[in-house]
Amino acid sequence: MTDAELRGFWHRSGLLAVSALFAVAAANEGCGGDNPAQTTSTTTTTSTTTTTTTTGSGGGGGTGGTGGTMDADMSAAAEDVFFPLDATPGPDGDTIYFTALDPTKGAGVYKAGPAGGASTVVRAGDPYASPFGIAIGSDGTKLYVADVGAGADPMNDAVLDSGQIFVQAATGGDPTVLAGTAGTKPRGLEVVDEKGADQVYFTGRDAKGDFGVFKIPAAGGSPTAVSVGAPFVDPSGVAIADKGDVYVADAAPGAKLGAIIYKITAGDKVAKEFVTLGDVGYPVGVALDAANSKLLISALDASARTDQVVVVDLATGTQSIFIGDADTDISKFHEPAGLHRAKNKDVFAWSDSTAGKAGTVFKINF
Amino acid sequence: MLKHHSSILAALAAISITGFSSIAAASSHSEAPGTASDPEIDGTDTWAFVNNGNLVVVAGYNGLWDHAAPNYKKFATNGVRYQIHIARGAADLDEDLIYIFEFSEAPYLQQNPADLTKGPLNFGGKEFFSQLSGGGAWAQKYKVTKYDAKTNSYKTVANNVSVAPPNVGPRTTGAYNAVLGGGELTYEQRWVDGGVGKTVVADIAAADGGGKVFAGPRLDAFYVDLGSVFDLAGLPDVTPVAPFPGGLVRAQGAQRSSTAYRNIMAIALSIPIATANGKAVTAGAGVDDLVGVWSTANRQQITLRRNDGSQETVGPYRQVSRLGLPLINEAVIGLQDKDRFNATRPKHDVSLYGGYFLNPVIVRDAQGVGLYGAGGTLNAIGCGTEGAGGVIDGMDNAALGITIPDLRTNRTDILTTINLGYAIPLNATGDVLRVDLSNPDDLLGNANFSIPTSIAPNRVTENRGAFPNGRRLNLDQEADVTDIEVTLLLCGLPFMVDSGLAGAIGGGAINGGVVGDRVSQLPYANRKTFPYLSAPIAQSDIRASTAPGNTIVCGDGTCGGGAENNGTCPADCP
Repeated sequence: MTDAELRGFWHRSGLLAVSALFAVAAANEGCGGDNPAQTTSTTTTTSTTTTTTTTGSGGGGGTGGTGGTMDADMSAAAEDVFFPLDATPGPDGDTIYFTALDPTKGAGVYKAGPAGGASTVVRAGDPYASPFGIAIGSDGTKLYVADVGAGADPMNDAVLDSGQIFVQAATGGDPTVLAGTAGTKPRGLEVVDEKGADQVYFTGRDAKGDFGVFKIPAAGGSPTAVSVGAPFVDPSGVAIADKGDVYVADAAPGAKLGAIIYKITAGDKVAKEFVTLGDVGYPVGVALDAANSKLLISALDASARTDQVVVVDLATGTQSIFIGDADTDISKFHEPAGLHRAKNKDVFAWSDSTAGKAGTVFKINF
Repeated sequence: MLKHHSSILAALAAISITGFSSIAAASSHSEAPGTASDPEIDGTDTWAFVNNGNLVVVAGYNGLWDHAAPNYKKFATNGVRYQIHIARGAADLDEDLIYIFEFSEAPYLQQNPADLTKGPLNFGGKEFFSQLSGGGAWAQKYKVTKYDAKTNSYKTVANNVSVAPPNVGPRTTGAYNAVLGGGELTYEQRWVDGGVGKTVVADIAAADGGGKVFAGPRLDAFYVDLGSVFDLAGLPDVTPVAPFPGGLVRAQGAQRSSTAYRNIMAIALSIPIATANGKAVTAGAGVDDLVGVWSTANRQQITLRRNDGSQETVGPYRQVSRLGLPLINEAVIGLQDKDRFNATRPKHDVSLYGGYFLNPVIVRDAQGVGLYGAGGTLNAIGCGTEGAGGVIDGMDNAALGITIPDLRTNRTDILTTINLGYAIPLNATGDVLRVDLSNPDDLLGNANFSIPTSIAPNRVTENRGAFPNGRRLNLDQEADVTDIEVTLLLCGLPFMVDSGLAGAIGGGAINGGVVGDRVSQLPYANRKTFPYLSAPIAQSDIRASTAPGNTIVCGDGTCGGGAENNGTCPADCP
């Protein structure tokens, strides 16, 4: 229909017809306060959607390539959640641990069993304040929680709440501070086994106030900089490949619109732009599959501003978009959060605070 | 699974809304619950027009200052981006250019109260007069990043530019003159006009597209009688006004502008037409030289309040305010959707909010108080006639091809008007200021309203340079956008055309067919040069106060001298 025809149609028709036109417009245009348009082509399978990015998304120049198909199954691990922030499976993917801001139980760590259903408290309330990130150690007994707002002493105003990483037994009990992390304003973290000892990689700031990616032994010590300073502005989720490459999501990179995934090649300290994203939620989840062939990013569709998981083939640069399975359409949600993979399986935990009544934690099997 | 847009249902839901809400709180100022509680990001107005070969865009924020804001109003520096958006052509509303303004502020210099060596304009953080501290609103700077969609690139085009400070009053101005030298300069001479060789106006290099930028406090050019409007449209010439306590009655002509002598924080951008258009303009009809302009404010998603009193923001940026055409969110969008409207983009306006444009609830409000019925004010001027079943028969215009069988619904004339008569697709129709960049400057005149003489494809030919074909500031008085939009909503485009409003809008509430608030004259003139908005009024100026007994903005906007200037307003200045 040409514009002139369309206008004539308007004048001849009533509200119902106009409404139908608007519905078509909505179907074509999506909704939301999105960032500048990205050009994509989309194909679908019965269980996945594959998108090939043909230009950059949200302003930074994306990765080209041909999309493939992707099979996955997802289920709700915990549906009674209030504002989940980050989630990680146990090493074998059975139990899902997550951080949330429950208004009655308090900010803290929760878990859901293999059967899903109601979640239980691992530990909530003081000293947890803003637990943005969670990761689990190799043996599954210890959780590591990045709390960007923790550290205050209610009896001493001189003690600042400048954040710290907590070590939390997976079975519950009071957490302890991971020595060396006080004041680092940690946001995202991941734990990897390096030469038989767990190392905690986290995003935060150094003593000078510069933001970046740091590494500290899981037993405590002094953080060492993996990459710090420019271009990092608001680093969030982090994923580490077996060979040592580090992928970091920056939610607010400089004056740029959208978000950027930076890659720090093993042995290097320079963060290079790897993937640009039109929009993201917070915290930004990034995770690698077990084969280290794909990078999964918890993101938002740049136009519709609805949830999607961007899957980047690390060999080809191809981007695919996962928006759920036959039972769950995550593009109905719009506040995606953290994402982690189980140590020993391609099982991922992911959450959204607009799914369900106040948030849902999902398990995704790729 | 199959990817689809969940917005379909949302769009249908929006369309089905017939709504009960009306104007929320104020004009474009504090118009939505979210912006009312967050003034620093509250977009008040956007002006855009062609002048001297440039596209000028001025965006106002943080309005409705009262006199108790002498020296602290400023731009937000903590996780906020102020943005000016430009979409070229009429095919879509995807931005081709975005100018991103980010402000910063040096912390107060920590100063030992016992240190007697500093001063007098650099006393640091121990001072309580911020203009003597050297910090606060006197220490704001900003950078401007230009996003170009064509190259998908970002470029910092201005950096470390100073924000104009508050205009506190003559004693402060005098102190700066005494310390900084240059003679007895006014605020405007010192900070804007380069009286001592310095100005806060910064150039954008030609290699970056050229132009200039300004940021700082300015006098608000918008005018409206908010008090009367929000007392259930209590405009003396339209609806009866009940006496106030004590029997005081507001007489006809006693409206006053609620924004007169009120400052805003303004961002001004002037860029060459070729930069805005992406090419040189071509004479003649067509939409090639149209741009859509709007401004936004964007906050980072999460704020952490730390126990040392500081705040830290993290996360992606979320749009929290936007402004294209004046009064759209306040007078068209219902309360239930105002915050959402501020968070979404103009390209989705038809799909998300089309029901509000097609079914303006203000018509139902006017109907509810009998204005269209026999003896009603709007009925009497031929604006609309209420008939059987509540249908309000509006005026038709054969030349435009517009008939309005019922002013309450299917109001495509509103979209025709904001699209300047062009056939613009639905996904490119939205709350943006359309500016025809091929308009020569000499089409200004005093015309307030740009009339499409026929439906597309003809260019707007009558009063081409007038609102809503841009919104000018380089006139003594800007277009009376309140009267124009209220008349459009209540009476329709044919009524405005047939009433001969093309040449002169202004004056009375119903004056030559105009329905409005009767506030039509600024008590001051805009600048004719960049940044176009006038110098901010000094906050110690009595005119900045609305305290009882101090009101001097009365009646036609100027109470004159004598007793009124002494703070003893006569009866016509309630």
